Amino acid sequence: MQRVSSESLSLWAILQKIKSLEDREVEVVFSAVSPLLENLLGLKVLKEAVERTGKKLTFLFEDRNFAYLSPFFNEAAIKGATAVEVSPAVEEKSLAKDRFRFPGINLKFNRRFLLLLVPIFLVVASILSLYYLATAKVVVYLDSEPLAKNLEVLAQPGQKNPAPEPPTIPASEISLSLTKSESSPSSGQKKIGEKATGKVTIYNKTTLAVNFPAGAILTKARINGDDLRFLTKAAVTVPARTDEAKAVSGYLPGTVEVDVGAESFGSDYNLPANSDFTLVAKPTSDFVAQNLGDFSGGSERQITVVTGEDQRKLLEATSLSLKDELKKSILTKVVSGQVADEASVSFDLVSKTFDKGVGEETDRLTLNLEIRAKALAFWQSDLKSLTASLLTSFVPEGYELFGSDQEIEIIKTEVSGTHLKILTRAKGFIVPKIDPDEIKRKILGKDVAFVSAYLNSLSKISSHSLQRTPDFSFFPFLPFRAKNLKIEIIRK
Amino acid sequence: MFNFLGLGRSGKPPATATVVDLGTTEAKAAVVDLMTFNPTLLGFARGSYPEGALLSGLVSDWGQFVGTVGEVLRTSSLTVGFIPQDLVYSLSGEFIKSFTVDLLIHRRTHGVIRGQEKLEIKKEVERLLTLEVQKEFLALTGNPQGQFKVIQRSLVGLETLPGTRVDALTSIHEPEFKASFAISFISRQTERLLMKLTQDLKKRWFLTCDQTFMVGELLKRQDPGLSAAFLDLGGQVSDVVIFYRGRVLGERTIPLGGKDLTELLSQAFRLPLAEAEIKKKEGNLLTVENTIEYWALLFQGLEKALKEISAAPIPATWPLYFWGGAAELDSLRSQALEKFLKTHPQSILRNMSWQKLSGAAFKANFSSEKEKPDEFQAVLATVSLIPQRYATSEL
Repeated sequence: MQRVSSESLSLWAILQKIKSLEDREVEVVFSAVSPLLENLLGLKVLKEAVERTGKKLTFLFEDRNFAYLSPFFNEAAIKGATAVEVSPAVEEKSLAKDRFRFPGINLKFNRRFLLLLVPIFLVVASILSLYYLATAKVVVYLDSEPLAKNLEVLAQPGQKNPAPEPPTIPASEISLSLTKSESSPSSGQKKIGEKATGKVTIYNKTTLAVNFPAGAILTKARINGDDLRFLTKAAVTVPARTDEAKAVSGYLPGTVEVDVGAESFGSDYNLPANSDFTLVAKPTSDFVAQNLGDFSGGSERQITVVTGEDQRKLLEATSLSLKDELKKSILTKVVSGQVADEASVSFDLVSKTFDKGVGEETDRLTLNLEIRAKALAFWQSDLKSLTASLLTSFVPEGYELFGSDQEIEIIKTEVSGTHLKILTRAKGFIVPKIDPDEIKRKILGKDVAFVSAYLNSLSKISSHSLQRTPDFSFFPFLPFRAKNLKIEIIRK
Repeated sequence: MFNFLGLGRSGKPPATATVVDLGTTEAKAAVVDLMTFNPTLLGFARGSYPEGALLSGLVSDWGQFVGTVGEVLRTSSLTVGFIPQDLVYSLSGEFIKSFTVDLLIHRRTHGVIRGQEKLEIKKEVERLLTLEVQKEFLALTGNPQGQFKVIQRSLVGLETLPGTRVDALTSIHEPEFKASFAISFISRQTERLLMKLTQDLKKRWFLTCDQTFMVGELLKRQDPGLSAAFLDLGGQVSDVVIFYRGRVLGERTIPLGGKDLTELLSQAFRLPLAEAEIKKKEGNLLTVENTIEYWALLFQGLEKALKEISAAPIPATWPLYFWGGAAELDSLRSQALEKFLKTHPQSILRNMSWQKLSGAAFKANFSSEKEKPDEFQAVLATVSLIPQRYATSEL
């Protein structure tokens, strides 16, 4: 097999070269810069033209970037690339490099000049270092006296900022609702049951017809206990007696049958047939009554019911425990830095629902109770800043309140209308008034001896100390830069 | 309709521009005034690259290449008095390719397209067009990872299904419609080449056109439903384009050109290349016998290109418009074709009507202060169509 390089050759030129070869098998080698590589049609035309001459043509693509051409030529001799890969990105990079070429800088130093330069550089560097890097701290100690006052401050919702007159700080209202369900045994007793019913026949021995309204009372006398009372269920008229000679009494009483019901519950009223009854306010010589059949249906049992006292006690107990819970919960809603006192918590009953009313049968009574709690909270920082400023008014002439670490103790809180009254004890320390900036100005850049003498001359200062970094004895000066000198004041 | 979905370009075109034809053996330049009703040709020039400076789109000597193009620009402006700052690249097939894409858009709803839906359709159109160009790039180079730049996408048809043509997007109410785009694209390599060339010439890159496609577009002015094949017989390569019913189907490049005939003469008669080139133009030494192999290869390449572009067999009676350097040897070409057809009786070239195009064919489409150069056909087509191309293009 003979090889033909395609580089810089046109299709026509490659074809002519192949034709001039004697071998029947030819391999055309393509490099990355071959103009035919980007033209699939050109490669196909070349292959077909060669094959028409009876020769076998294979392609060898030296650059792996063109491996994708292999599937287009069945026997294609894509024999792996050995050429160096040049990606477009690399090409662009090298192009850019050529385009932007900066001239180099070439400085030449004299050796002797360098030797002279080094000590100068070191001296300058030392001076600059001392100027910029040397620091010092002067600690001034002052005698102090405690100052404590009881102050009354109002925490007022709607107040935006602390105000000194009257001393008021902003308060915010926190609210929380909780629901609780509790139950307790019922204590009331009640009898219930069914009333006995039946039919009676009323006998009229008089010569007049008599009307009995519904509810007419019939009684049954008992040996033990009270009489049993029954009531007629309908109005009836008992006809007068009729003469009957055959009768022993010489007449037949007028009769009428009527439904009756017992006046009360109980099985005692279940009377057997043929019991005699008396009609209230009617003598037995004129009227009697008798049941022809048994009375039945009478019964009685005792049940437990709710009483008003049960409800009152349950409400009281549930409210108490719910309020305890609310107090604990509402205080947990206070964010860090806020203060809310238990004494400021107030409650509103939102709803109460008993599952049973008074007189209703139940062994246990259940209550669903919802209570809303409200509390007034205030910021500790507000109280502190206001009391500090109030405390200042008690500082004697020539003194000042030291620092900002006043102690604030809340003695008592009390809800008064819409606001909260806070009784506090504010405690701070007063020290002689000095001007640290003035001291700084006086001692800046001065030597240590002068500084010591100056500070000793200040009667308001109890004592002092001095720290320098670095503490070189050959350089007994304080820093020259105000930024590097720190004045610290400590009370005794 | 021109600025379909905002895909087109906007902005004011320059008053003058230079149309640059970067051929494979020579560069041509034409200075045009774009402020007249039809573009007016003010000046033109041409110049050949030194031997080996350019090989089928690959620049082997950048300095010589830029030098030649710069000199051609300068010469074209000699009689004009100024050199326009804006360049219009009129590229031949080895640099640029064109084809038409039909996209079927399925909407989620019907009614007038507006708002968010318009944006969604635009995004989908962009995505589908990129996929189609990728497929075409693969068919041209075999490279599945090829990088390209779309330089023109003109909306050439909008129709709702089935087959109802509409004038604008706002006329569409149907849930489905078809949008057809004429696409021209270049490889990233070509884009970098043109950017660097523009930069080195210290000019502005205004517009890019596919010159073979432009010739077809220009002939469409006489016949909007044009169906024809086009062949640009260039110096090193020959470009083939098919138009079917006014739409460009595709484009292929056969790596054969007039320069190969020069080499053929040089070898056959042992002449230096420069002398062979002169003899070729004189036509004295060329015969059907000594060039039939070249012509046969060209015809076979042309047949293959036509078959690749059009999946369906193209009717034999179609016109085949051709131009370029080798078109000057038309008589020889005609005899060679006759001989070729004797051995290839089934060739699709048998009944095609070969029609040579000259610059005069485009006379009506532009004004000229100069005598119109006959050999500038493709450049002149580009010149004529700059305003239309600008309105529908995106660089």
